[in-house]
Amino acid sequence: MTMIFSEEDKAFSAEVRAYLSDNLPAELARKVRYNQRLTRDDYTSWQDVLAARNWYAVGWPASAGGPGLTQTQRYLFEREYGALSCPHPCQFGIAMAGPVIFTFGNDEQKARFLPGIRENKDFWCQGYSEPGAGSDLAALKTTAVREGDHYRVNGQKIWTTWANWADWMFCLVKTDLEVKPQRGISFLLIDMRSPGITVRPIKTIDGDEEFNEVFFNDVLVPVENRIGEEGQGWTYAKFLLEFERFSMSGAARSRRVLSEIRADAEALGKADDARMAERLTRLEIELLALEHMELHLLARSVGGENPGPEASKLKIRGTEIAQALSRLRVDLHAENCLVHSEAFLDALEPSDNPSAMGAIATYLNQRKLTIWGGSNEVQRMILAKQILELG
Amino acid sequence: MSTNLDDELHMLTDTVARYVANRSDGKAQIENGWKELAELGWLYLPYPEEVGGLGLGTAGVSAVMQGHGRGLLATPYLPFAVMAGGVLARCPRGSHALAAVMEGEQRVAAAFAVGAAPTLAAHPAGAGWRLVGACDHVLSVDEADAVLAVARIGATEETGLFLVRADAPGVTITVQPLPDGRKAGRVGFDDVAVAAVDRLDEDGEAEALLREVETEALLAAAADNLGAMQVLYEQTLDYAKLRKQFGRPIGSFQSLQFRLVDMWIKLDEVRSLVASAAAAPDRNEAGALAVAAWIQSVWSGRLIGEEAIQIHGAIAMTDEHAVGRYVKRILVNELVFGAPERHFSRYRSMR
Ligand SMILES: Cc1cc2nc3c(=O)[nH]c(=O)nc-3n(C[C@H](O)[C@H](O)[C@H](O)COP(=O)(O)OP(=O)(O)OC[C@H]3O[C@@H](n4cnc5c(N)ncnc54)[C@H](O)[C@@H]3O)c2cc1C
Repeated sequence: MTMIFSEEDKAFSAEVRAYLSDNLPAELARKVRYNQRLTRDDYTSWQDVLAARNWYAVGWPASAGGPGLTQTQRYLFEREYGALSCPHPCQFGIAMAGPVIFTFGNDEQKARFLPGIRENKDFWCQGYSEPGAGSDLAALKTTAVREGDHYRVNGQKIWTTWANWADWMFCLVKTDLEVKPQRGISFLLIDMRSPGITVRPIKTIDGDEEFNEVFFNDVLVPVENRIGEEGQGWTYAKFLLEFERFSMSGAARSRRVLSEIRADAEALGKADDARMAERLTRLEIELLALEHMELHLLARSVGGENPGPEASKLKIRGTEIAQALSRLRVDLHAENCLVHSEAFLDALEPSDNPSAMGAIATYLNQRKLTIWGGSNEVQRMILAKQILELG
Repeated sequence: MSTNLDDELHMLTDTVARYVANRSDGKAQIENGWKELAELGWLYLPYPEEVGGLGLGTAGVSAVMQGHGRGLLATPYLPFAVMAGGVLARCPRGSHALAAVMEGEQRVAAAFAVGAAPTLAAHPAGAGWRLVGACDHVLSVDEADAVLAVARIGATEETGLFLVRADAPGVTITVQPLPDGRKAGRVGFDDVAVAAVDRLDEDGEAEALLREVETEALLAAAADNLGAMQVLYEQTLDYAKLRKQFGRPIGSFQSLQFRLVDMWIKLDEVRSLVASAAAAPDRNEAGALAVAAWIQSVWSGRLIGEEAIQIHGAIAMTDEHAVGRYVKRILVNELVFGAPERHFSRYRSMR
């Protein structure tokens, strides 16, 4: 299949490319290119640039105040975006909280929360996982007990990315302990400044502070912050998982990383090394297969319907390829990766090789891709059950 | 192998296990253990009795190194005792320094990378030499009194082995922390004067001698990897039995069972090669097995490390968790001692 893009689509692509490349600060692009740690301000200032064109909430329909792009335009947007060294935008508001609110929220909630997300005013985090509830999310134990106009929330979340930066959390809580686990879950929006919330950062394997523990001690949450029906939180969470999976191939980003690695290999005179050439070509073809799987799935859902459980295949292959690329970068730079410093871009010697310096941290950090967003094992279970119909 | 030696090795293995169990909390790296290693007599054991050692050879070194991997010991046994000491033990002119090394009185770092061409040059100057160049990633060089430097001789293809004091004029040491918490550094030689007696090798013998030492270093590094991946495997197995999701231990899911079995096989491949390499009577065969053990330990180590993280889930993505430390140890070993491809031709030439 060849995707034939209309003149209009091509013009859209060009417009995206021009806007992004004109407005991406060189310093930020360099940080992204060399896998340096980004600050909250790095993210939000860039997201302001996107929001100025209403491209932060790029996947939103016009009815929710989004740009209302077609599926094809979305695909093209991702492609242009991924080709540049833009920071990966924070997803929790635009790709998770937002879609749940505009799909299941009431009018008042839409008016109250959607503009803040779309315009990059509020920073969001996702409170699903708990110490005892990872892949088995329904086992969560954080409780919300109704007391008049409020819920009283007690319990603990963990692995909450950017809870330390967040203004809001969308959160799954138990509102009914009597019924079947999935039936007793509700979906709450919690103001992170509420009394009784403690956030404790957890250092990651690569030395970053990306995720946190969040403790709730008698936190009062107004009932009007509950999305949809009490006890229906599981349905909304499942809706989101599929939504999320579709954007998880990361193909555009992997394509950029592949071209960076190829450029580094050429600069080091290693591109023609037989083993390196073979691995680069192999990954390129695997990536091409992923892109075309995605295109085909896209073509089938151009009608607008959710791609459904099949999108799990994109998450599986996309994350495997991203991890293979992070490993290839380590192998390319070999012992030069060992030179490692915290603030390296500021302290570069002309002889230093900045691509090598972030390689180990990135390799370690990218192990998360096959764990989060529904681990790849969980994705395979979904495909086995729902697509292959294996019991 | 004599029964006597067998007994000694058994005892050594027990001592190593006890030492690691007493010193290690299974998480953090063990620091500052050099004096203890000397007191335990481990600095004597690699070398033949003729030069004053205990003659436990590669088998003894493997036992000690497995303990290093298992306990994440930061002590530079491998670079100091196996590499630098291994060179000294093979050079009559190194006997004095070796005695001090065995006593734990002198620490000599190894300024050469296994399987890579020398990055230093030695120029004749009067009766002695002048060393120029720099060597990177020299393990624990911050703790060294001297360095064992490998250099090209003048414009020739020949190699020379030099013992240089760490505080000699013109030597600069820049310490670099490694991603796993150990330390290494760059040693720069800015026209460093070295006396004739401090060139250890006789003309023409350095290359063959270095090859032997490097092969022993690869086996020692394989044993370090083995100790580390053994812990990764054990912890992952335990965790799979303990961690419950969907109302049952995750180890009861067949897809994870198969992967744990594969980890166990990959571990056993390394264990088998390390043991056979350490026990092989024939020198050439032992060499080929040692190189194979290193290569397999890298392949197995990558798989076991990545699977250990995946099967643990998010908890293994934390800095506090032991899994990450072992994964980094194995990765740093690979980058310091060289990826498999760097050693293929060495292997082919030995088998
Ligand atoms: C960097 C990072 C950021 C994160 N950010 C967030 C966040 O912002 N908000 C949030 O809520 N969560 C977050 N998470 C948590 C993530 O969603 C969980 O890690 C994930 O759901 C897996 O849960 P777990 O880690 O408890 O592993 P477990 O569920 O304990 O799984 C352990 C292993 O067992 C496997 N397994 C489990 N069940 C089965 C089965 N039935 N068959 C076969 N294999 C199985 C898993 O695939 C995994 O390999 C984050 C995680 C990471 C690593």
